[in-house]
Parts: sequence; structure tokens; C-alpha cells
Amino acid sequence: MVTAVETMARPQRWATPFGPEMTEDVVDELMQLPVFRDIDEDRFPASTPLRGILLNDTRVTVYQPGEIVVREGDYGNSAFLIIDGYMRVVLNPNLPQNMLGRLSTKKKGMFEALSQLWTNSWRPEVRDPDRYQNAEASGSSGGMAGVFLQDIPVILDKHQTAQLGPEMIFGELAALGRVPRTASIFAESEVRVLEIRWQGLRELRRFDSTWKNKIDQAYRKNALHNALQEAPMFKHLNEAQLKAVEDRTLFETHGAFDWHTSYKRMLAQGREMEHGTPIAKQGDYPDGILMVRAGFARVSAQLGNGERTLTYLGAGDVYGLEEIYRSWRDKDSDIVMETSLTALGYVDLLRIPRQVLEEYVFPTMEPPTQRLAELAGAEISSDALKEWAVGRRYINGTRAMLIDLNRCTRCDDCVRACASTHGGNPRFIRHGATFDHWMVANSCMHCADPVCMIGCPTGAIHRSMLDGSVVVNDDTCIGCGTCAASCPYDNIRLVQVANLQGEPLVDGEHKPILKATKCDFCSSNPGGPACQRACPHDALRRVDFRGPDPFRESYQ
Amino acid sequence: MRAVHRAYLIFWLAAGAAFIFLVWNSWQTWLQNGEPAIVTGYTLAGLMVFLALFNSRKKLSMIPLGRAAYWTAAHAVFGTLTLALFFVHTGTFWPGGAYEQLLAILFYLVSISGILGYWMQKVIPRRLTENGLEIIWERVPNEIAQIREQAETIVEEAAEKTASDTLARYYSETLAWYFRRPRFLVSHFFGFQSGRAYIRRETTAIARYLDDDERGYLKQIEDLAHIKNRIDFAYAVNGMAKIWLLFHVPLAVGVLMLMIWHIILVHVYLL
Amino acid sequence: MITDQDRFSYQKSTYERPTFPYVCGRACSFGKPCPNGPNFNGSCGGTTECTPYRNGDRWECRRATSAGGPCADGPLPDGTCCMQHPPCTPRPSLRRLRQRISLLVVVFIVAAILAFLQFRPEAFQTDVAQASSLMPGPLSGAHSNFALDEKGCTACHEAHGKGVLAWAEAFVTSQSVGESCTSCHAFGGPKNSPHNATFTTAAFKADSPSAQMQTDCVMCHTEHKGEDANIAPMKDAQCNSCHQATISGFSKDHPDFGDRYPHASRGAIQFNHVKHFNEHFPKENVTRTCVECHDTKRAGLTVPAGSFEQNCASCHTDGIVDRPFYLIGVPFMEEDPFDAEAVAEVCGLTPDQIEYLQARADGDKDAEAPEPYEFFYEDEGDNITAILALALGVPNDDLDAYTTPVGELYMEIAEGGATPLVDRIEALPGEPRAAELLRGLDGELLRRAACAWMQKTYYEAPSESAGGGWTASDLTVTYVPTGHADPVARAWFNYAVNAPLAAEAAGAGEDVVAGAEALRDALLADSGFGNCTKCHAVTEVTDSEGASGDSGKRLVVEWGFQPVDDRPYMKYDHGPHINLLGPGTLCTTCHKPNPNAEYAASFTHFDANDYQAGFQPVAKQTCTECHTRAKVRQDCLLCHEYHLEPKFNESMMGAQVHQPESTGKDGG
Repeated sequence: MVTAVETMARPQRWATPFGPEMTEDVVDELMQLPVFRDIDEDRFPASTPLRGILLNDTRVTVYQPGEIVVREGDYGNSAFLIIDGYMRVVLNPNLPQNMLGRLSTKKKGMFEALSQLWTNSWRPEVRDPDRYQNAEASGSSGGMAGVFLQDIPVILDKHQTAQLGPEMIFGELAALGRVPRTASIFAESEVRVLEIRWQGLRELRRFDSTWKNKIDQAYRKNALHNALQEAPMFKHLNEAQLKAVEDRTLFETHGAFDWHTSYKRMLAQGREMEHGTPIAKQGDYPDGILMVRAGFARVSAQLGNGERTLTYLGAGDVYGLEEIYRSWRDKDSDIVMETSLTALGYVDLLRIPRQVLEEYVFPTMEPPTQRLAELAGAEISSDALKEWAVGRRYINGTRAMLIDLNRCTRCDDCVRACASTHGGNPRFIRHGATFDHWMVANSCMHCADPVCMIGCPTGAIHRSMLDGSVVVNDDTCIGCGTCAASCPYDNIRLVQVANLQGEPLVDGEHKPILKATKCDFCSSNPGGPACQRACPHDALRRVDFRGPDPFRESYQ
Repeated sequence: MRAVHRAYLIFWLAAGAAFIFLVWNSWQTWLQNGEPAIVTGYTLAGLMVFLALFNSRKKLSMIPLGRAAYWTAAHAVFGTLTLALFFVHTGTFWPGGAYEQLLAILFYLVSISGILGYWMQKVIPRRLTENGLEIIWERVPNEIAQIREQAETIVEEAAEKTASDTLARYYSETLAWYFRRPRFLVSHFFGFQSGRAYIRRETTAIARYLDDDERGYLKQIEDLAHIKNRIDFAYAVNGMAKIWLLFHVPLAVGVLMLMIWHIILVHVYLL
Repeated sequence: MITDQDRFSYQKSTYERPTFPYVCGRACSFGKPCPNGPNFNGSCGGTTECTPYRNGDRWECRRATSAGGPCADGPLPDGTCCMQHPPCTPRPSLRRLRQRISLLVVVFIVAAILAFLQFRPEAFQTDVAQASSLMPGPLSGAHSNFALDEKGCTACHEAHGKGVLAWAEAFVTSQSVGESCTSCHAFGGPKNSPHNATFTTAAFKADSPSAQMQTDCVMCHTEHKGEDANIAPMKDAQCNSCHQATISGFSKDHPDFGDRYPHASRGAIQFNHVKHFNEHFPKENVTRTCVECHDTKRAGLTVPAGSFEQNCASCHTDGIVDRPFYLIGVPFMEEDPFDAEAVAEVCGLTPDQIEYLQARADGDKDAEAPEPYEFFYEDEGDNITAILALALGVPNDDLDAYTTPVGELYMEIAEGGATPLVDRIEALPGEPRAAELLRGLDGELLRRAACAWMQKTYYEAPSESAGGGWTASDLTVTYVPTGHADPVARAWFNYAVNAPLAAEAAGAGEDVVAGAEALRDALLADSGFGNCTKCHAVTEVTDSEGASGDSGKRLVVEWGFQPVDDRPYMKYDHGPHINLLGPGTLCTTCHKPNPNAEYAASFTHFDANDYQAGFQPVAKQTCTECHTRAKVRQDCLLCHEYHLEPKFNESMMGAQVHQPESTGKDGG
């Protein structure tokens, strides 16, 4: 009989504004800016008015000259709009790491970690209610003690940079794409910047078409340029050639941003292998290569009455190169695509036309390795694991929990270890889909494309700046359950929280306060994930499914 | 080579070298009329404390203390070393004196249970995997209860739909026993097929009194029974892996207690 | 259920909490466990799935989404939850059970230790001792009753039964269990030294690396191994670890025995086997075998010969009794030191004179007055006896020197009997005890002899004497040995062999020393008193009884037959070897007579070690015929003893007893 409860106020979406100093006056000022002035406010719903968005999902920061605003490689959750002043984007080469003074979200020290031994509670989901009164905004990239570059002229001299001025937007790539920052940006002069966290950006993009186009275009342009720059097959090209290729490259997106909804539905019906948007078909005329920029695509060939997955492509991988190259080299115009390409979830592609390749790239390029024949010639049985992993979309996982069932004694030491690093509460369950002697347990895989983040109203679920794992800020989570419903793998769970005496926390109407919980890869604990460390039989590994052979991967 | 196998190799080499050294050292000491039991005794004490620390390591996963898989390898290898060294230390299989005999008994029991545990850890995972059904051991009661409910629902529905109470009677007489709790645990542990034989026998026994509709329901019950049989297997085998520790750890505690007493006595009375 | 496709969904499956110590009782009986689980203190009073909330005038279900969300039926009209779970009896989880069992084991063991923690002595008696939390095994048979002694176990273990503080102290300090062994066990040397040796001899040099070594009894002797255990299990390898000259096996590389084995020093009795068997026995037509003299029933380190009476008396008694000791006699004198009147006054008439007077009294006018024998001393006299010369302190052949003292002495003897002589003898250096030396001497005899000689007549004994003892004949007073082992003879030898040394040590004059030497030589000569030293060796020993005190030398006549035990670290038992090679196998298998040895010469001096045995040395090859690999035992301890003369402090009848060889019943 649950008798005693403790009451507290139910957390709200805008309970913790992004910038506590934002006032109505500042909003007034912002509304004068052309970018906002022309927006039709009526398009915004009553629950999220434009002014509300500006008030709660943005903040104004001033940066001094030389101060680093954004660091390449960091995970970020916000975009920036320059109000006045100038900034520089460092293009080439990238700033060295030591200049960037990386900030680390603090890991626990050894003694603090050890003290969990006696501070953990075996009462479930115990929280200190006082914390919830003083919650901080999550994942902010501002607010760190400013790191300054010492010698701007030297940097400008040594590095190729681009200038950003008023009304320019940057950083939306990282915020919306859930990928790391692609370049470092620092203030050239004193600059006032409006930082918009991506929840606000999402609403702006959703309800205002100008913003949508602007964001999408900028997104495309920057993504394209960086992707081409980093591709190995273009490394041998000079500036002019690269520019020519870039100018003729098309940018495509396939699949839905929120692919998980349809995927879960089909999974429940057992038809997950049918899920995915077709991009190219086996037998098509090869008119250009497709380079994956973000997301995953599946390369398959017909086998009997089904489609056999040959491989899957992630960022940087190329489709169709072998066939086109052979066609050019052998002057054979009858060569067709030997495989089909399907979008798994959502995929950003770059399409580079055949003519461009034949003119600028092929003459000086190393012949591509012949992989397709090898892949197609492999025994069907040997592909079974791969098919299963692709069908389950585990390829999304960068830190999937893979358990070798032929070594696992089902002792649950992993669960206990997880509990010991999380106040006595485990953050995964040792069950999950199995194939042969492998199980992918229901523990957050810290996806390359974390769809759980899409719907979060407060940004409680975010990418940690420390190591890129996806974590939930317990203080700001309002327990809406969107992330848990989104996760295609059922790795997020809502729990009812209690106070230190074990009494459930409830709101004014006695509805239980819930919080989302999931594996956080022990980001704040020394030593990395406790689960794989604690397995006495070397059965449990956190693996990156994007790697060449995750089933044989060595210790993370 | 897998990192854990490499660890085993290194530990075996170290243990072998340590054993050879200690035997040689004991022999030299004995030649010179010293007391070889001092060095071997303290080594044993240190080893046993190290072995016992494995338990503590498992509780301290929140700090990086080395992979538990390495600790398991060290525990198995140095446990074997301890057993070998025990005989070098006592010089006999059966010491004189009541408390030393008790210590020897407990030590042998711990060692045997440890060897059994090692064997189980090698054999059980594959058996459980090949069972084809994964279930968390603590959830078995809930699962059995649900299966039982489902079986009873089927029986009720059968009685309702076919207007015959044969199945219902048969269920309450015979099958209810089967669905009440996990059965044939010993057979499952040793890999025998008593569960399936039972199902086969019982379904054959009742089938002759049923018409086609009823046989349809019987088939559903039979399918449920097979699922439960797999669960029973998992319960028995996984359970044994959990229960053996209830022998191994308390026995080890006993050995440690007596070891402390032994050290006290030796120092007070002889050294 | 396990067959559901969505059984992993976050709505259906919640976290497992393996650290929670209690399990719902229903789960233990394989019913459906309620989702809340037992209370935090392990109790269960029954529970509901939610706490309904009154919103306005309706009760609403407040079940958390993780438990399934608000239920379809909603609370009952009176506000109670519709999902009631009656109480169960929670059980401890396996982990908790394991903790409890471990705790139980701890308690049980501590209780068992305390229950059997006895300090009363009776608790350590052999049978009962097993049920003790202290004893690591029963004591060996010989020591098994120690616990009953007043001191009990504390005889060896100081801290036994002394309380926790004493134990704590004993834990950190060194215990000396071996100290108490010497309250009963003693050795011929220091107990803490290897082989109990004092490192000052040729065999144990002072600069040897082992000289500084300290041993402890417990290094080799282990107790508490059971009643029948061998408490000193030593193996050859342990001997070899100390001895630099390692020996891998007796037959292989043990050094040869050498040419003084086993007879490095001579024994007490000179018996020339070679001469007897080759000469004397054939001459007397006597045949003897070894075992007729050597008693095999008492075979041990030696096969001791029987007594003089059993073996030797048949031939050698005559040789003893026909060698008397000359006490006093008629000295050769050119002057007559005696005053005839005084003599007549003291001694009375001579028998001739009495006869004459008798004749005259009878009326025989022809009787002639006896004429004294004027040249009695010149004709019949001889050098004075050695003892007389010594007693008077004059050379025995210097008549100028001895005439007067003899005259005085004989007068005194005639007057006082034996006393004057006794006095003079007892005044000699070397502490002669006249009571022994002159035992049985009748003073009257002396007086009459002296009178007779002073009156220049032969002494006439009243009767024939037989059987030995003090007699006087015409010209001498002698002592004839009564037979073998005559006590007077022994006393004279004991005194005489040391008289010269004693005289020197006492700083006596040259003449005295010379006289003592003369006495000694007279006795030791072949014609000496009883011919004792024909067979009994005279040996120089150095000990505290020597004339010059500590480490003084003295001569000892070896009266008693002692087996030669000059190799204290060797042990040999003839017993198993006699008749080993067949019935009647001869001693000469190992002991071959050596005719070339200068055996007799070895007894002409006083050094027992300067000796050539009459037998060939026993060769190692003789032993290795059997004591070799794969045949008979050949380990070090079979023949060698580690301790030097082990004995006991407590003794029977006041004599120190050699500790008997005790082997454990396990043959060690």
C-alpha cells in the first residue's frame, strides 16, 4: 500500500529557460531584427508563441575578440544568429586541439566514484527533490569560461577562414543534424550573438517557411562542401577540380527524418526488412555515384525471392563507383548497377554525375577495390548476422551492448555494476533481440542518428559534450515519454521517482512525477562503461556497429 | 588471441613459475633445517586473501579496478595454485588435529566447488543459448504464472466452446501439476529429456478421448507446455549457476576464518 | 508473456533490481509476484497498485505509466484502489541468503573454536585431545603426558592459557619452544651448537664456518605429529646441505674407512689376539673360538668379552700370584745402625738366645752362646725396597744415605708396629691412603720382622701362609696378591702411577721425585707387583682431577673393561650382523687379525691414541656388499649419530644414563 508521497510542482517545458536573463525587452529588440520582424506570428500555436520561443529557447551572448564560440568536434545543441559584429570560421587547416581548450563536463573523481558504494540506495529511483528546484539548462555550449585565441592575425594568416557577419546563421548543422560541429568559429570583433537552442530552431523551422528554406539551404551548402573535402577519392584533386566537382554535385535527402515511427510499426508486424525508401535499383543505368553524407543506406542484391543485404553504407561510403569506373575504363556502355540502394531511416546523399567523374576524377584516380564480387560470392549463411543487424537497424548504434550468449552465464553482474554507478538503479535490462548466440540487449546504443532527441521539448536528452554519448539531464526532464516512445529499440524507460525516504514524488494532483532514464555510457564515471568492465566472462562488449566486424571487435 | 586467453596464459605462466619457485624454496629451507611452512603459509594466506578479494571487486565496479574477466582468470589460476600449494604446505592430504582437519575439509570443499563452478561456467552458457529461449531467472515465476493463466484460459474456453469437460478434468487431474511450478529440474540439469517425454506421454494419453475441436485446444496447451519446458530448463540450469555460489562463498568465508585462527595459533605457540 | 513480440517494450518491461534483498513471496511459490515488491524492511502488509486521488468529487487512479498507467476500472467508490494485493511472506533474495549463510558460518566457526577452547590439562590427553581447537595433532608417545604436569603445555609454550594480552604479545614476539627441551635432555656438549660440538678440536675447528652457527631443537624435531610419529625425520639430503663434502650414497662416494677403523685408540686391556691364537693357544694345546670369550648375547657396539674369571683365569692366575710386592726387607748395610742393647730391650731375645738359655736352664753346659751373624746385612741384605726408599726420601742403592734412616725406622717399627711406616707413607705426595695400601698389614708382623732383622736373624714365620696377603719371609715383608683384582695391588698401582707427577707438582725434592719414579717403574715392570700392567693399560688422561687442577694430566690404570667409544658420532650394532652370513660365520669376516701390527708396543707408553690394532681395519667394501643401493639401508642416520652423547638429566640411581636409542614405530 503506497501510503506516503511527497508533492512537488510538475516540471514544465519552459520551466528552465535557455537564458535566464532574457527579458521581454530583449525580445522586443529582437523582434525588430529583419529575420524575426517578417515572421507571421499567427502561424505559431498558442502553446509555443514566437515571443515565447524567443524568450525561453534563445539567449543573447556577447563574445570578446578572439573568444572561441564553437569548437570543431564538439557536440552542440544550438544554432547561432549574429546580431552585430563579425566572426570567423576556420576552414583549412583546422585549429589545433590545444588552442581550443576543450571543456570537459566533469567526471567523478576516484573517491567520489568509490563513495557510491555507501551512498547508493537500493530503494528504487531515489532523487533529492531539492535539486529539481535549482535545475540548470542542459547542454549549453555557451556559459563556459571563455577560451581565447591569443593571436588572431597569425591565425588569419595561417588558416583559411571565412567571415560571418550580422544576420548570418551558423551551427544549425550540428544542432539539427545531431552531428559534431564541423568547424571552429571565433569572434573577430566584439560580437553579439543570439544562440537558439535547437528546440526553438525546430519550432521556427516548422512554423515559418522562410526560416525553413534558409536553414535547409545553409545546411545543404555547408554539409556538401565539408563532405567533398573529406572524401578520399577526391584527395588527389586540386582546388579548381574540386570546385568544379562541387559545383556540379547534387544534394539529396531520402527517407524521413522521423523514420522510427514507421519502422517500429513494421517491426511489430515482422516486416522490418521491407522498411526503407528505395534510392537506386539493381539494373539501373549508372549515371552517377552516390556518396552518403549522413544516415545509412543498404546495398542489396536479389537473391531468390528476397533481397540479400551485401553491405550497408554510412557516412563517407560510396555507391556505384565500381560499375561506373569499369564502364569508363572498358568503354562498355552496357554495364548496369549490380545492386540496389535503400535508405535505412533517413539518408543525406551527394550525387556526383558521371561526366564530372570521367572528366576530373577517373583519369588520375586509383582503381577502386573490387568489393561487390567478393560480397556477392560469400556464403549466404555467413551473412546472416549482418542481415539481422541491418534489419534491426543496429547499424545505427555506436555503443551497442552486444552479449555473447555462449560466454554469458546470466549472472547479472553487468546489471549490478550499472546500478552501482547510477545510485543503485540499473539503466538497462539484460534482455533483447537475439540471433544465434548473440544478443543486443536493451541498453541505449548511443546512435549515430539518435531519433530519441527529435521530440524532446526541453532538450533534457542531448549529446554530452564530453564524449558524444546521448544522455538525459534528469533535472530538466519533464517525463513526457516522447523519447521512450521514439526509440526504435525500446532502450529508454520512464521511471517514477521517489524522495530520499522512498516516498514517491507526485505533483499537485497526485500524478506521479516521471523521469526518462537510459544508459549514459557512464559518462560521468571514471573508467568508462561499468558493464563491460564488470562481466566476469568477457561476454559483454559495447560495440560500434558501424565498424567492419562488430562481432569480433576488441574491447572498447 | 583474445585478450582474456592471453591473460590466462600469462597467469598460468606466473603461477607455474611461482609454484616451482616455492617448491624449490621449500626444499632448500628443509635442507637447511628451516621451517618451509612459513613461506608457503604466508603465500597461501596472501593468495586466499587475493582470491577473496574477487568478491569485493565485483561490488566495486564503479571504479576501474581491472576487467572482471581478468579477475576471473586470475581467480581460477591462482585458486589452482593455492590448491597445489596447500599440499606443499601441509606435506600431507590429511593433517592431525581437529581444527586443522576442519580447515582442510573446508578447503577441499571450496576447491571442489570452485572447480565445479569453473566447469559450469564453461558449459552452461552454450546449453542455455541452445535452449532457444532467453529469460531472466528472476522473471520465471511471473512467466510461469502467466503461462498457467493462459493454459487455464484455454481449458476454460475449450470447455465452453466444445461443451465437453474432458480436457478440463484432465487438466485439473494431471496437467495442473505440471503448470504449477518448474518441473523435472534434475533431468534438465543433467541434460535429459524428462520434460518432453512427459508432455508426449500425457498428450498421447488424453488425445484418444478428444474430437478434432478439442484436439485443437490440446495442441495449444501442448505448445504452451513445450514453452514452459524450455523455461524449466533455463530455470534449472541458470538456477544451478546461481545456487552454487551459496556454497562456494560461505565455505570460503569458513576457510578464511579458520586460516586466521591458524595464523594466530602458529604465532602464539611456535613462531 | 515470453512469446509476445513486444515483451521488451518500455511499457511492458521494467528494470530488474538485483541488489534488492527481498523477493515477493508469491514469486517463491510461483504465483504472480505483485509489481511493488516487498517493503524496504522486508515485510509485506499487502499493497495496492496506486494511491487514488480525489479530484473534485471523483476518485482517479494514479498508477504510474511505468506500471501500466491509470487502470481501466478506476478506484472503488470509497476511494480504495481496485488492484489489491493481499500480503505475502517475502523471502530473502539469493544474495541476501548467501550473506546470511556466510554470517552463520562465521558465527558457527567462532562458536566452535570457543567451545573447544580448552586449557585444562586433561583436555590434552591423547584420546580426548582430538576435540580441541588448539592442538594441531597429538604429542608423540614419550611426551604424551606432558599436559598433565603442573606446568602443562606451558612447559614448551609460554603463552598457553595466559589470556588475550599474553597471546597478543606472543603473536608479535619470537617464541622459543626449543628452550625447554634441555630440562630433561642433556648432551656431551652445548645444546645449541651443531652436533653439540665445542669448536676447539681438530674435528671441529674454531675457524670453521659452522662455529658460529646456532641450532635449535625444533629445527629437526617436530612434535604434535601423532603418537607413533618419528619426531626427528632426517634425510640424507639434510645432512648434505650442511656438510660441504656431500655424499650422495654410502656405497657410492662415502670415503673409505681409513686404516684406523674401527680401532683408533687402544682399549683398557691388552690382549694380543694374534699372539694368543698363533702361539699361546697352540702351545698349551688349547683351542678357542671368538665367541667363547666374546658374548654374542650382549652384542651391541661391541661384543663384550666375558670376565677375567671366565676367560683368562685358567692360564693367567699363576702369573699374578707369583709376583709379590716388597714392602720392606733386609737392607744391605756395611755398618750396623742398630744399638744391640736397645734392640734387645725392645725386641726381646732372639729365638737362638732363648734356645741357649733354655739349654742352660736345662743344664746343658755345652750349650754355646749364639753368636750374632755379623755379616748378616752384608751377606743377606739388598737394596732397600722402592717404597722404603721413597718413604725415607733416599735413593734405594745409596747405603750411605739410607743406612741411618733405615736404622731409625726399624727401631720405630719395633717399638710402634706399623704406625711409623704408615706415617711416613702418608706423608708422601700424591695422597697415598695407607688404609688401602697397607690393608691387612698386621703391625705385629712388621715388628717381629724388624726385630728379627735388627737382631741379625732370619725371620721365621709362625706358619705357612697360603692364599696371599701380607707375609714376611726370611728377609722381606711382602704382599702376595690374593688373586686377580686384588684391592691392595690396585691401590698401590693407582698411587704409584701418579706419584712422580704428584711429587713434581708438590715441588718435592729431586730424590723424592726419583724415588717415586722408581716405585712406579718397579710396579709397571714385567716383574712388577701382580703383573697387573701386563694386561691393564696405563693411559694418560687430561682432566680436572689431574695433579695440577684444571686440564691437568694424570695417569690412569684402566682397571675396568670399557668398550672403546672414541667415535661419539658413530653407532654400530653387532647384533644384526652376527651370524648374518650364515650360522657360525666368523668374526674374521670383518675383523681379520694383523700379525704385522705392533700391538704390544702400543701398550708400552701412556698414549692411548698411539695404537696399532691387532686387526686389519674394517674396510668399507665389507659393508657395501650389503649396504648399497637396492639392498640394505644405507642412509646417514643408520650409522651416524647427530647428537653428542645424548643422555637425560633425570637419572636412575644417581648415574647419568645414556639415552636409549628410541625410534618411532614408523621405523624412522
